[in-house]
Formats: sequence, structure tokens, C-alpha cells
Amino acid sequence: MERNGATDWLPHAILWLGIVIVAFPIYLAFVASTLTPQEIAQAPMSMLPGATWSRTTEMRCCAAACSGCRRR
Amino acid sequence: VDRKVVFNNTRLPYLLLAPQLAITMVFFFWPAGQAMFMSVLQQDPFGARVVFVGLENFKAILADPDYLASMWRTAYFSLAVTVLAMVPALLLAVMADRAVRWATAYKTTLVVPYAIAPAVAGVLWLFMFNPAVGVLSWAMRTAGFEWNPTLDGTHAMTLVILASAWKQIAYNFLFFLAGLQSIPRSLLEAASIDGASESRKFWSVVFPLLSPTTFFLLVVNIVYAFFDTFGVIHAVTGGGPAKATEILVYKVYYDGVHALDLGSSSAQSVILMAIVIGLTIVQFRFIERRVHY
Repeated sequence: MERNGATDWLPHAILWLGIVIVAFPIYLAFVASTLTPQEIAQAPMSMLPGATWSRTTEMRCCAAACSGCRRR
Repeated sequence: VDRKVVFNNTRLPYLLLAPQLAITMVFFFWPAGQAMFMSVLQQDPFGARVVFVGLENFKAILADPDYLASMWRTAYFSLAVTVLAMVPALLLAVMADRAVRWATAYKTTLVVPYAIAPAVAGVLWLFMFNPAVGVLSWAMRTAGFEWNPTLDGTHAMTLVILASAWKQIAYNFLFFLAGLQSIPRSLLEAASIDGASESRKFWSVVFPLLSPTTFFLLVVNIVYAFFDTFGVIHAVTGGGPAKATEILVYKVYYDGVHALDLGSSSAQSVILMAIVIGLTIVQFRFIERRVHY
């Protein structure tokens, strides 16, 4: 197939635009999962991941483990 | 000598079909029959008394302006979802088919929303467009546009349409890409040798050869918009504000589960079933004729 350098970048540009639209909601959910509720509530929230990801996950895990303790 | 091969065992084929037939019976014909049976009955909310009322439920629904409004709402909702899910998917698939470098990365990323449940897709979009904390609603407010899907019916409808279409793009992309890759390269090369431009090649060679895929996706997307968007609507608006996003399938759920009007709800589900069967027949009878296989 013929290749003309001038329009070669066009498919990539459109695909990147598509990826931005398709992936943005998922990226935002990930970022929000790394923020504290206070950080999310101050509109607009940060567009970059925060520092609380590990802490949030720890809290969830602890809560799950503790409810297990109590049941036992 | 007759050399025709005949399979003599008459019982085995039925036996092999039995599991599928049983599933269809239990999960389709039985509930559908139950709905039809309930649609001619009227019962009080506590299920204590049941009265046979014939076609009164249907008469009541078809004379109900709320029901007719919901029908129009469903029509433009499903049209919008189908167009917004198919057109970008086709564009992206054509581009991904053309791109050589990073093709696999593009394809993998674009397919991700397929793995997301409708209700979760709804929540993701609600999160972006929530009037209080949503990032995009903040951006719109800053630009001077008062966005509030919890109060404005048009905004709410736009939001559920976008969320439903977004979730379906991945599925359509996958099928369009597979369809594009099965188009014989020799035809495209012949078109190139004849001096056809890219757009000419697309409309005269690719698009007609892609029509079976497009047709299949049209049927699937309309059925998706009619039924599977329930999760999105339930998560994002719950049919509100003021019923602005209550499509037929949501009305069936609301009238049956919350309003406890089981007769009316069943009659609505029978009508809904008839609409979808009718649409599918129309699509196969009239659109399929114009499709090249």
C-alpha cells in the first residue's frame, strides 16, 4: 500500500484522541482512589495521583480483617 | 448406488440440543409466558387478590401520556446511543487498522471499557459530571455553563446517553476491527492502483464489505440501548429528574418493583418484548437485503 508521509500522523492523532476520551473516566477513578475524601470534595480535585493510595487500601484491608476478628 | 450419508440415530441430536433448549425454556419462555399471563391480571399491592381483567392493562397503558412520553424518550435515547457508540468506534477501528506502529497498544487500551459493568460505567460518568465534585462539571461552570444533571432533564439525558455509548464503543471497536481485517488486501491494492483516494476507497470498497458487521452491530446496539442501559440509568439518575431519563425498561422496573402495579408492569414488558422482536424482524427483513455478504 502507498505511504504518504504527510497524512501518516493523522491516524495516530485520532487514536490518541480516542484513547484520551475512552480512558479518562477510568484514569480519574484511579486518581480519586488515591485521594482523601477532603481532597476530592474541593472541586476541582487533583489530576495527579495523591499519597493516600496505600493508606486507603490498608484501611479497607484492616476493616475487612477486623470485621472478621469480631465475627470470630 | 446411493451414496448419500444418512445419520440414523434420531434420538442423539435431540439429546445434544437438550441443554440449550432447557436453558432457553427456563430463562426465556417461562418468564416471558409468566409476564404474558400476569399482563391480563390485576392484583392488589399485597398480592392477596387477583382479578382477570383481559386487555384492560394494555388499554390503560396505551392511553397513559406518561407511557407514550417514555416511548418517545426510549426512541431517541436508543437512536443517540447507537449512533454515538457506532460512529466513533468505526472511525477508531479504521485508524487502528491503518496504524502500523503501536497498533497493539492502541487496540488494548481502546478495548478496556468492555470489561466494565454498565452500573460502574454509570458511576464513573456520574463522578466526572457530578455538579458538586465533578471535574468536568467544574470545567463547564468555569466556562460559564450552568451544568446540573440532578435538576435539568436534558442534562441528565445527555449524561446517560454519553455513559451508555462510552461503554459500548469498545465492543463495537472490537467487531469493526475484526471486520476490517477480514477485508481482502488485494481489493484495497487494486483500488490504490486505480488511483482511488483514501475516502473513495473507504466508501466504495471498505464500507460495503463491512456491511454485515455494521448490520450485526446495529441490531446488538439497539437491543443494548433498550435493555442493558438499565444499569447505567439506575446508577446515574434513577430515572429522574422528574422522569426525564425513564426509558421503557426502567418504567417496567419502577412500576413493578416500587409502585407494585404488577399487572401494568407485565403489560409494559410484553409491549417492550413485542417492540424489540418487531425491530429485529424489520432489521432482518429490510435492512439485511441491502447487505452484501
